[in-house]
Amino acid sequence: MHFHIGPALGRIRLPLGPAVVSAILHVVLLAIVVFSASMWSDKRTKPVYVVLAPATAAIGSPKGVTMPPRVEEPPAPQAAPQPAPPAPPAELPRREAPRDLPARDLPSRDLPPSRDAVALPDRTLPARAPARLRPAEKELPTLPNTQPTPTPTPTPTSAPARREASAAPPPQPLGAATGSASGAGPLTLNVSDFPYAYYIRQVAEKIRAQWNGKAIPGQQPAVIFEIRRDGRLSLAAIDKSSGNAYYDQVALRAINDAGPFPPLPEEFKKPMLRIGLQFVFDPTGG
Amino acid sequence: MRRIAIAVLFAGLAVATTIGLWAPPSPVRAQAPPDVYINVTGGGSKKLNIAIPEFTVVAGTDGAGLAKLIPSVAGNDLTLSGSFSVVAGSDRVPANNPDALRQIWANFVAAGAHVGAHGLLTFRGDRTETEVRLYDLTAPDFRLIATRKFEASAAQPPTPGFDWRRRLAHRIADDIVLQFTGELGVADTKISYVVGPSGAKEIVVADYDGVGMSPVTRNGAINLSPVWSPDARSIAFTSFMNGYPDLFRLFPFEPRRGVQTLASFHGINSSPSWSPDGKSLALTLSKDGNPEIYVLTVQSGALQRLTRHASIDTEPTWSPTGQQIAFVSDRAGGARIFVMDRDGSNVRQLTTSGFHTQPRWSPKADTIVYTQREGTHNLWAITPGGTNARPLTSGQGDNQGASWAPDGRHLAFQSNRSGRWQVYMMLLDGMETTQITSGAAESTSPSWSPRLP
Repeated sequence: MHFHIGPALGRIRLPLGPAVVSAILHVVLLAIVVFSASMWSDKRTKPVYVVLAPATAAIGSPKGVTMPPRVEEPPAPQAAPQPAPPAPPAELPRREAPRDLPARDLPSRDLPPSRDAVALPDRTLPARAPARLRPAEKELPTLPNTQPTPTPTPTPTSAPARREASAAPPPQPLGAATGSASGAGPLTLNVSDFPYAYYIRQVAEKIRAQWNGKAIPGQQPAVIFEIRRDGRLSLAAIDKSSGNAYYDQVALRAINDAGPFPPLPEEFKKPMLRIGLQFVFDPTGG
Repeated sequence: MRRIAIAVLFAGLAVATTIGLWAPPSPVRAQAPPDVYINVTGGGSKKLNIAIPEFTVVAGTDGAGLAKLIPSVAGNDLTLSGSFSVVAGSDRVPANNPDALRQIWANFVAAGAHVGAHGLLTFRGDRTETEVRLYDLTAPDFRLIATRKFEASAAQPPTPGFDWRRRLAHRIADDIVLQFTGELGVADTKISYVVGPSGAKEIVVADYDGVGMSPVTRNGAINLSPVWSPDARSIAFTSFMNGYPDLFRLFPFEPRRGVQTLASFHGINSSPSWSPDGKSLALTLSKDGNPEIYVLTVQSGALQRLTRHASIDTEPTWSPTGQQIAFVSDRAGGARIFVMDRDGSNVRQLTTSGFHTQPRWSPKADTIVYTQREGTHNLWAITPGGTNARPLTSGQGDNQGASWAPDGRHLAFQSNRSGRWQVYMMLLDGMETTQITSGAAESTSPSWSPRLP
């Protein structure tokens, strides 16, 4: 098939001015469409949110909590009172959270809970978790017993794995698996994506140790970095600038100085672990 | 043609704009979303609580008692690492019983454990195979993190201070530190120090934790300032064994190998510091009148003078890059720390106003530790740029003579805080101080070895 511009058409003078206006309008319209599409796209982020600021306070104080062994056994008497994580957050469809929480929203969302928690003295933190979990006791006492526990699969996003997480409560000290950054526990995580709380804790501790003393009051940046299987840092870059190049550089340097990190857990199969990190200035901290 | 060009231009513009909008604003975002998000705020450091139940014998006979010894020794190593708290527990893990192991982990979790390490021992003749499994106890299913294997042989030739069982435990501990912190531990190291009254001082070698002390000089003279070579096979030291302060080298793990004389010039031959490549020593000689710093090439005996000054220049310490040497000089009044390039050029003053000796450059390069006289002595740290001077000890007796562990995180030093000179270790932030020698004899002048070969 061939298209020819006929002589008649060829003689018509092109309306250059309107064409330019039209082109600009098209571009602008396209920009709006694309931008809003990217805003609403849920493919971009499927993150696990970990609010780690006060986590160690709770991590360090699990004494007195009796953990039921996780269970192929008949229901132990102590299994029933064992608090399970609240059902609603656990049942949330995974994709809801990312939709509400594109990376650029992180700071504003995470700030309030961590500030609250930081302000709390250490010893009050453990008390919070049971209080928050109590309703779940009424609702879910039989779950661990009625549901035969499938063998733990490393496939992170499968529904059974998710339900399992809510059925068998994670150890008290780590807080609850909520799948959302808005969990009230000092450390909230979704066990289905990167279920190695010890690892996140160690990484955060190493960065915290480097960043302490370099903390600057003011807006802090969000950083993205990757850890190789052997624990070496492979990439660190500003994800969301603080608006101040110096603060950005201080944060990047803290991450570079914090490495090497622990080798990735053997059962985590990806070649890299990709971490989004938000620095939060805490005037009372270190 | 013109019209086509314009049409193409518009189309191209639209396409380019679209691509530009779709393209991520930074290279980072072009890739996958993060697997995990973290918030980091300031705050004090916290230790990881680790449980190490008795190891389980899978095959053979545990004649050496490793099932109990390894958790005990490695547990102490992890405590000394400064990164772990060991959760006590005396549970015995039966072989091939996952349910029993789960119950034991549950008990440790109740006692506060975050992670667990459990070993399986297989004995075959002289050989011992140890499989160490690390678990994340914060995960609901006590997730396996890593499986590590170690081999050791009881048939290793006996050398002074070498206990293969303890060494196996130290290696396991170092690996656990690596798995949880990203940096190898320093338990598989030795410490050399000087023991004895003022009449005779002998040099000894012990495990870094002070256990298994064994003398490596027996000459009845005064032997001083041992310094491990970078390959951890030899120790340079000053000895009066021939009546004068000369510099020697001994090989602690080769009992039949004699002492080698490094420098016996007229006057003082002292304060050796190995170059990072182990081929040269910086040292102090007074053969030309007053103490000056020289570099001695060990193989050839070639000598290069670095300082020329009417004041005292002494106690050189090499930077880990080999490019610079810090030293003590009183050319600016009291004893202060100076830094010069490896050839003696570009001398600059590092510390001011005070009396500073015994500089020791961190193997991580970012810190120089020194001794400050302030009534008694205390250990201080400063950056090689001369900033961030800060005390590491204070108010606890007299503290001197720091020596870096190979991780650049731990320091050994001597202190008389208990009433008698003993060797201690601490972290670079001055925390976690632990006494590692004891007894009636005074222990001084520690040198922490590099990681053993």
